[in-house]
Amino acid sequence: MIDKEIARRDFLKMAGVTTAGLIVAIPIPSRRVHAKEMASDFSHIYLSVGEQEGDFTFVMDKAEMGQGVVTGQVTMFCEELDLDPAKLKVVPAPVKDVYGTLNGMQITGGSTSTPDRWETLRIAGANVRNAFVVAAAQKWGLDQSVLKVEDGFVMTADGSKRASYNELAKTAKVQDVENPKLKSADEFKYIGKYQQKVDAEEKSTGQAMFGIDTNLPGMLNAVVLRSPVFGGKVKSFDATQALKMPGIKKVFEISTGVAIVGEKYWQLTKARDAVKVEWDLGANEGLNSEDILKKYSELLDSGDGKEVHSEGEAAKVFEGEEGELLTVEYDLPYLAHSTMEPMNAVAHVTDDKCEIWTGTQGPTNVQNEAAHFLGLSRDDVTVYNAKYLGGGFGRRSTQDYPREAIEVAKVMKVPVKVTWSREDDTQFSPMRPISKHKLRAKVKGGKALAWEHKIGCESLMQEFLPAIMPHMVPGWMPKFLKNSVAGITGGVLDMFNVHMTTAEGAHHDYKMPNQYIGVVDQELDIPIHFWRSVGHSHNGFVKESFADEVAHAAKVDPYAFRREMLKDNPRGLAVLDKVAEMSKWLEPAEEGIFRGIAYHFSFGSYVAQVAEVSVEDDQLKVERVHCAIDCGVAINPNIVTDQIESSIVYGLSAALKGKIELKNGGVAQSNFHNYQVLRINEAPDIRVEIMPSTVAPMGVGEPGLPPIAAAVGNAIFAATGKRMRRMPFSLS
Amino acid sequence: MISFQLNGEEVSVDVPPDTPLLWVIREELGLTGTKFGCGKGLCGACTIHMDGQATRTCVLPVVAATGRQVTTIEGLSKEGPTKLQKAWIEHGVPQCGYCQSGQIMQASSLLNNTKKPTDEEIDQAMSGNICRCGTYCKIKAAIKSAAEVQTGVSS
Repeated sequence: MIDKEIARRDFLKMAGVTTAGLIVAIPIPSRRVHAKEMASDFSHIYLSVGEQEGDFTFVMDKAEMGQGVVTGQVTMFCEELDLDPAKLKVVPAPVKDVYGTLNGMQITGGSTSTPDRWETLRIAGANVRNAFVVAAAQKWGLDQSVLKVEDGFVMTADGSKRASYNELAKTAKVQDVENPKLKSADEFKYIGKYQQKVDAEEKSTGQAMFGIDTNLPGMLNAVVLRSPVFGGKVKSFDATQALKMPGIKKVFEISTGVAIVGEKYWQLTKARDAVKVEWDLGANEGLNSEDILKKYSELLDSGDGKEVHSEGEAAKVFEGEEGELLTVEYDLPYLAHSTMEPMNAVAHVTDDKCEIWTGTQGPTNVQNEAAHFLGLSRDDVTVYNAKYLGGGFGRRSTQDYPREAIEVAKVMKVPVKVTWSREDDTQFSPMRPISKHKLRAKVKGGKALAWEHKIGCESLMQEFLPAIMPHMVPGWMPKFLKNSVAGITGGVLDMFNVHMTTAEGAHHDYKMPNQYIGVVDQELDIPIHFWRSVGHSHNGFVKESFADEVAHAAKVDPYAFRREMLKDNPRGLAVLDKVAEMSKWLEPAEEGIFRGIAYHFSFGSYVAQVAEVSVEDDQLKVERVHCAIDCGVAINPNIVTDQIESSIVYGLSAALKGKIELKNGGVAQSNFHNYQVLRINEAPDIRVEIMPSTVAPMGVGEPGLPPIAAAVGNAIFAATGKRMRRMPFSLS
Repeated sequence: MISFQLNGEEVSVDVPPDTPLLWVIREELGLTGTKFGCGKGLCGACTIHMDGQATRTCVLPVVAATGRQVTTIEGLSKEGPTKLQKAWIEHGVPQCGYCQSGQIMQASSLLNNTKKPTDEEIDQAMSGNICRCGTYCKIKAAIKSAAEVQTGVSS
């Protein structure tokens, strides 16, 4: 038997917490797998209550990357604990099985953190609060029923006796009550009301620490020169000149290219130009985005692809004579995530240990990667996640950048930080995959009789799978084998279904009697990865743009058309009606303003948007966006609004500007001058309404994104009669 | 040796004169609040004040700072957060927070020059600062409320 109390203290020490007070292990079962089976002694978040009044430390396994997860998690916990969330000091958890996990992985993504913890954090908060009440009752020889709690204190109703949680921590014993009484919505003090962000001050005063700010004694820096064509290998390199430059220590080959190691980053930016590399460009030489789209077009024309969803008898309706046929194609480019903080990681590798400091959404995967590459056990690899990630959007759930640091550090034997330049980040990062969509509909009597959406896009899951199960599916495994393993696994855990992410959101919650959704894939060796809202990011746009096309073909108002298809979906219908009301859809638009509407359900949340645009001399301006969201209970309404604004701006960058072009096997864009993103002068006025709700909260970090491009594209159609079927949009 | 005032204190560094000021601040002088975003003066994450004016440091040779007053986010105020920073905190502007030092330095320079900026003036002054989290609506709101506090006019 391990001494749990000692073990707990060790876990906290790893997170930099030293305390003599109460330590509470909060069991964190996963919502995805049945809670009871997953809740073990080794899946916890830790709370430490120190002896000093107000000393509360929360060891948190979720990565804060701007989505407000820290504030959200502590709001849920503090609601039941009855403590001002601002009083809880939050420190990032080291990567160990003992900390909160999701199906065995410590990972932040998929807009899951809030829904996953809605029950467990409140139950934990209630149990901890009860422990303090019991301790106070014993201390004072009173019945619990005469005591009340208020912001970190237990007191008698008349206030004659009062003790802080910290004072009571010495004797408090937390009982793991399965179903403690939780507050009802009308008793909430923080949920739905707490408007601060617990990290706002640190982030407004330059104190917030990101991975790139890591500085260790004796640490060296490194940059990596990578092949201009994806998959290319180093043939030879000449570092003679670079090695004569000040501060440059060593230049050598690693798996992704040539690493240059030196004292300071700025020395490396000069030295990198002095290293001459000859590349074996490999199989992707000559490959262009257009070639990939052309191939998808052929594949989509030659078959129905893998069926993802079907209802009724779509094929029969399309073969038949009835109804008007509408056939269209949509193309979407590769996209970079372009987080503001470029990729970076520090590693220190000794003979039998490895330590990594980085900002990551998937620290367990980083640990696996290091263990696998170095031949160490996972326990010999320590990952220190950064307190703050300078943007994630999916990009920081890959292992490529820590892997480079591990490789370089293995050679150097001292801590080394690998920093990607913006150009590296734009040109060598895994991307949102390119996709082609072919759609058909049969329209009659103001309705769609049948709907078909065939998607040409690579599966993201078969890329992600080796990363999350490196020992089961090693990186060298050929793609077709990965695919089959992923397929088998998909039967066990539906999140691993290979085409699920590619097709998600295409099979919609509209009532449509005959529909078919299929996917074709092609084998490309170009790095791709989840990009904010993943499959919904392309399917939300395509589905909602096509819905507008079908509505126009059916000669029905696009709002009324969607309304009819949502009539059995009360929550969807309610957000659609709300946005129509907000935008005064049923009244004529203001002079010079044109409107487009879109609706999409993703990550458990219902979102409807109306974009208002103006077009003058082919110059488009998105003036205003109205958005209604039903995400269940809004834990922090201010953060929900933030995430909608954020998703809209992110989605508009893609719709209006974003394009990564594969040219001759490499990325043609390099920095913000040619991979442009939305700036403040282009940002619309955004009005958000959150539907009042008492049902469990769902995702908010991503659902605001899928409808925005369609809402704007549909507004452009209203203004110009031109249909936006390629991104980025072009009016000329 | 190149000498300048950093947050009110004289500092000297022994680096090549063309070293970007950003890397001198981060690597030689150990202040990490000023961020590296693009290295080409395109995103504004590295914004500081030089003699009170917002300046990009990722493309500015350190020699250009010789004898001048350099202020970073850490030195914006000696007495806790400024009115602008307080507005930033109150509105909960930061999301990931990475670009926010640069945004605040840019906005602070704007308010030094223009007491009550209009929407257009805010757009113009702030359009060189990228935020991928899209905090633009809240940046505007925070600048406006800081301007109101500063000029003593409340809405």
